[in-house]
Amino acid sequence: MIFILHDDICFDPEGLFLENINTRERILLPATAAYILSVLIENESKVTERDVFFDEIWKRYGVEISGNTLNQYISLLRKNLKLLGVMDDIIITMPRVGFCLSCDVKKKETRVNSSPAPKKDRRKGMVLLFCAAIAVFFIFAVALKFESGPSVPESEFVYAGRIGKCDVFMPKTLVMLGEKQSMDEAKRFLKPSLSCEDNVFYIFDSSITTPWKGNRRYFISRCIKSPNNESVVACSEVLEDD
Amino acid sequence: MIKRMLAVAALFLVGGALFLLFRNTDRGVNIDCFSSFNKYSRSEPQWNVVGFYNLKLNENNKGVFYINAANSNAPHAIVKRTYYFNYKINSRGMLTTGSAEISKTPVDNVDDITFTKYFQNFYIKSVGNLYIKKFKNIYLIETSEFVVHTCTPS
Repeated sequence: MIFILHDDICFDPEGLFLENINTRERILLPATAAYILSVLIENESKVTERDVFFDEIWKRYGVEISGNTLNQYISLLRKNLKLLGVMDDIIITMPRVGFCLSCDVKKKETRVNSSPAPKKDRRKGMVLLFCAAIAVFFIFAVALKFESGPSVPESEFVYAGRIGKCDVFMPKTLVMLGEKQSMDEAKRFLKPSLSCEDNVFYIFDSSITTPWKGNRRYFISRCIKSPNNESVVACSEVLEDD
Repeated sequence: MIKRMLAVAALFLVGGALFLLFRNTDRGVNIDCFSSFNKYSRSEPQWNVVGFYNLKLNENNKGVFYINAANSNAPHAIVKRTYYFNYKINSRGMLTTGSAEISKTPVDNVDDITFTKYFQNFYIKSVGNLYIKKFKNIYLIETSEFVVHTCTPS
């Protein structure tokens, strides 16, 4: 239940506010002020005695008010009504008796929306915030989707020479130690089963296993490239150990 | 309406933040490769092992190494087994493996010591000296700065 005072002021006793219907300006009331106005409205144009306020507000709401408090809240109600554009004093003081309303009061069953009056700018800001949050989320999601995992690093194998018409690749360090010597080792180690043919290249490596004996181990892999030379299709390898 | 939109936005952001916080930052690589090999020993010429293997490293940090090999001379030794392991790889290609489980087939008659000495070029549980690097489109498996396998993508 809401009340329309002075044709353009809406009072919601449950929402505890006064609102100018035309400007949508709203003022929240202290609960006691709202109780006082409710009692005034119930008596409409009749004079509500001061004792009635004390009794009714105590009985209904369990709030005890003094005469001074009553005056203060009446004063606050007047002030708020003025702020909402009601220049006439619609709460009349009957000296030593009480107060009465000097305006028409209409009852309405439907409650107005108790949420604060929507402000266009605020709504726009909220919508923008919402869109921004969703956009940020999707940007992150897409970035993570395409986030590259750890990639396998490139080896430092370099071209060292040729055996027949087949290229030989070795570790950079081996070539730096002596390209010719390493190539000779590779040729010596190459087995007949690893014959050089078209689209074949070799990967060769050697390392010292027991330095005091001068023992070495050797690795050679015969890799076959695809006919378009773009990728390796198979490798077969030989490892000779001590 | 606005409150609902804000709630949905907050939900998305919180979900995104939690996802970022708890996502797997040690993502693995995606490698599936194979090779045939011949490994022999100068000091023990009776050991001339011929076989092939298949290595799979999945993005979920789980790996599989299947090896099927046999000694072509006496003693008659056959290896046909699969290793299942967890792994991590760093930006230098260093593999750290762990929790290896072995699954041997009935024909596999090689004990672990013989296997490590004559069949396997790298130890699946090696820590700190096992590297995988790329050369053209194939992978080179290295231990102690020595290539032990070339692995061609399947």
